[in-house]
Amino acid sequence: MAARADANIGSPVEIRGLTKRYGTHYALRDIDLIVERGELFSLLGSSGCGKTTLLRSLAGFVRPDEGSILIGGRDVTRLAPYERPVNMMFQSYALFPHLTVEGNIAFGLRRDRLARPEIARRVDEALELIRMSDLRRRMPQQLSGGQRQRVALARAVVKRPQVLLLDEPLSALDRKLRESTRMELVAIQEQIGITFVLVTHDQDEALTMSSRIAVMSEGRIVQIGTPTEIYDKPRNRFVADFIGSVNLFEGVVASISAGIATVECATLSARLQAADRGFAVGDKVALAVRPERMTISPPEPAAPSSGCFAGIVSHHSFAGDRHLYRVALEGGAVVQVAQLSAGTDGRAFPRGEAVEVSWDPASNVLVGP
Amino acid sequence: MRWGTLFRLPRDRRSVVIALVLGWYVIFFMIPFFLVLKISLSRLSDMIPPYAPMFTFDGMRLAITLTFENFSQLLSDPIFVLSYLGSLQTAAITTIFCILLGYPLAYAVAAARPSARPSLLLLMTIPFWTSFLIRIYAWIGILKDNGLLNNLLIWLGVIAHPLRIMNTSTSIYIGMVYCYLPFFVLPLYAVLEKMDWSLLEAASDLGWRPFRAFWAITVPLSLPGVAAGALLVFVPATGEYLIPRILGGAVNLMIAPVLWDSFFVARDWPIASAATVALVLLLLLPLAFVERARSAAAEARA
Repeated sequence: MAARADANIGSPVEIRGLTKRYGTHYALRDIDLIVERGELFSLLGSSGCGKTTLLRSLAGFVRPDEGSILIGGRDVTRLAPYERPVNMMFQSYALFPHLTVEGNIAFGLRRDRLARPEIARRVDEALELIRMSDLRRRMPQQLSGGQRQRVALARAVVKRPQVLLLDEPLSALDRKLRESTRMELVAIQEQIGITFVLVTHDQDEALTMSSRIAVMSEGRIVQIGTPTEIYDKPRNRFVADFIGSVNLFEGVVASISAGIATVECATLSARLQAADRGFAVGDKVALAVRPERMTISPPEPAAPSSGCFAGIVSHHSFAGDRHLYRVALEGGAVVQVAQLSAGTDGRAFPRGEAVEVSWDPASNVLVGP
Repeated sequence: MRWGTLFRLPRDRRSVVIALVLGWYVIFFMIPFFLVLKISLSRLSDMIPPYAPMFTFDGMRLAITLTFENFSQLLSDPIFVLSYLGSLQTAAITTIFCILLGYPLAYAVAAARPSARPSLLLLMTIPFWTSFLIRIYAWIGILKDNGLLNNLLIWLGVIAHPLRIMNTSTSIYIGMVYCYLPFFVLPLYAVLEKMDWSLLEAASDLGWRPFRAFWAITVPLSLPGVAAGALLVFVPATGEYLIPRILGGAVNLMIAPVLWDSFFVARDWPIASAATVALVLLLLLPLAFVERARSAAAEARA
């Protein structure tokens, strides 16, 4: 693995101006992307956003119309899948039903002109990695979903690719298994040190596993960043709305001074401030505030202080670790508020109760359209 | 209404289906087979029917007369032995050509756009709309000395004198492959059509070129379809009567015309019946072999 990786200078993945059209529909529009060595990089988006097309063009199954793809500094845009130093783990796993676990894992090595003992050694290694040495003679249809997933992973990493591509690797597993497998996948990635590029529509999966995320929509990358950047500093309304839940307050920039923008929010009948992100006075913007950044409290008899909004609880649900409220504010806006259950002594605000909602102005994030 | 209630009873449904199949099998196979078996164990006679009764009752005792003479005569008569071997050989060669021609055909249909597949399958079944006999006769017009094929080849300058194709083993093979090809293609297509094409992508991803991946993945996975198709060709091809009669002329490669002559020309029903029984037993062999291979494969998987 080391020899092959060191021989190449440059990022494991570098994509320049990649475009793919199907008829008049753009599956990918001018994608630029660099993935660094050892990253677990996620392509996140809803179905039809182009994330799978992008992954499949990295594997070589999709021929782009424009742009180029470099793997480890080498241009592979015109290479066939079998000529590329990448391997893919398929969403359906695509295990060969007529081969044993061992046969499936050895399949890719058989074409590499390796000596038999070397193949056997590497298959053993891979079986150990996925802890399935005792099931090596089983056929794929005799395995559970989780075991199949691990065989698919072993079959792809045993070739020691420069990049491992994973197409919705956890989507075929049930919820419980999916969550434990996330951590396992991250652990395996750290152990073998191969760069992972993973496609998912599941934001939790992307947030918990990735070193960086590219959020995609309509064939474009909308934002690239670490999970915290994506979550706390969404670039626009789409990202803010797509990742987690968010309260969006429409408004117009009233003034900007010292990097702080003041926004006139009609629905709140208030002026709120947030760090400016390159907007101009008069721009239509939105203020994004995460539900868990908001505090819900009993109404103060005294006149409400600024940054405090009175309202009525219109909906309440209990999600175990937290209470979720929907509060109709006096200005007409409806906000979602999440409150950790710890510290509430089991008390909650019932529907119809008058409450006050407040939040730290530092939680306001200015997003564009 | 009665059928409705019948099929609504889940416990009875299975036995009804099994009884129907079993009944069909007993009436149309077992009873005729035992009638033929009985004749094959009887002596030839000049009466009508042309064989001596097996059971005779003289008012006091029941006498059963059995003879295995017909079977031993079968083995000693070279025409039967040779035409048996000829049938097996013709059926085997037909099957091989059906595999060589039919596999690419079935693959092409299975790999075609889903919207194009029904029309391609239709093209393959259109010849069945014409009578089998007429289609075989049509081949005479193509294969005879001044037929379409020879005239075309002479016109193209490929040959100077007409090729002798009609009434040779070649014309029999051509007719056989032509007739039985769809029986090979359809079951194979059914298997290929269900194949998961992402397996070929996976093979490509793992470094296998398309042609090698085809041999390593597609071929082994389609073997059940090849076996089913080969069986559907081989078994009826062994007993084929019309094609060797019409396209083979005096060339006698196969058992079925010999059987016909024994029954209706020589009127030796006992020996013809013995030959029929032997043919059935002969055909059970490849069936049993395939069935054993399949159950062994199923066991290995379980």
